[in-house]
Amino acid sequence: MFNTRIRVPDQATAGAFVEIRAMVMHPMDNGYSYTTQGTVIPVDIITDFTCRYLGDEVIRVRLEPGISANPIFTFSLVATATGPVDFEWIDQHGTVTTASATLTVT
Amino acid sequence: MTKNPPPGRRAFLAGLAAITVVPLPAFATPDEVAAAILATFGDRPVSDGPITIEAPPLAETGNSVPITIRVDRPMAAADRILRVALFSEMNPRPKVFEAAFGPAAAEARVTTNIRLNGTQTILCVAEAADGTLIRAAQEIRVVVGACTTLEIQF
Repeated sequence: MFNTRIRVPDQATAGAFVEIRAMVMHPMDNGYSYTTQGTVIPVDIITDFTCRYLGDEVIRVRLEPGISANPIFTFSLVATATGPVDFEWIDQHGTVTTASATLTVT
Repeated sequence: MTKNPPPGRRAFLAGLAAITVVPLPAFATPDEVAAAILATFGDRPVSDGPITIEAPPLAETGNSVPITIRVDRPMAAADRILRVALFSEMNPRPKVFEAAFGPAAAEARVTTNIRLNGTQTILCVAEAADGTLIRAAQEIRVVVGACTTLEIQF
């Protein structure tokens, strides 16, 4: 599990576009940097990110080492009903990090 | 009577040259970009299309370059965007990321921070629901690349 920062608005009107931000604290080592001892830091990245709203997929991202450390994604979804917005990150070792927020639709 | 000369200056320099070869990361060539597009989307024709790439024209560091990919098409249309992928010509690995938009997405737009290894043209390819592929390119000048850390620095 890694620390996450997500931003989901508390309320939205039905049919509105809601901007979502999701960030996970991860170094995303790309295999081209070195320690102070001169040894290569091996590749260690998050490979998959998924966001679901009311069980439906909003976005699914396949990450490569070309993504910066602490990867952040900003995207938008259509508010239809009050329900959970679930986030899931999977790293290359299979560790699953999740976060969730509730979007209230008025 | 002959004697073996001591290991001289030439041998020393040759040895020095042998141990100071720094392994630099290989750059992705346009061929590798084409191969990455082929591996991601399959063998289909790609035409230039209306993809908006919002990125700074000059990035001071390649470690974190904010970039927005947007395709202005309604998600209810028959040719709505299913997937977008970003490719880099100079990075050691050409593919940067790939994003698929699901049924709850409001628009085909995603913003993230990427790494760039020097001034280059980035290429974005999008796949529509009707199977067509469109692409757009944007040049970004990078002052310091993301992969420039060398062993000799330490």
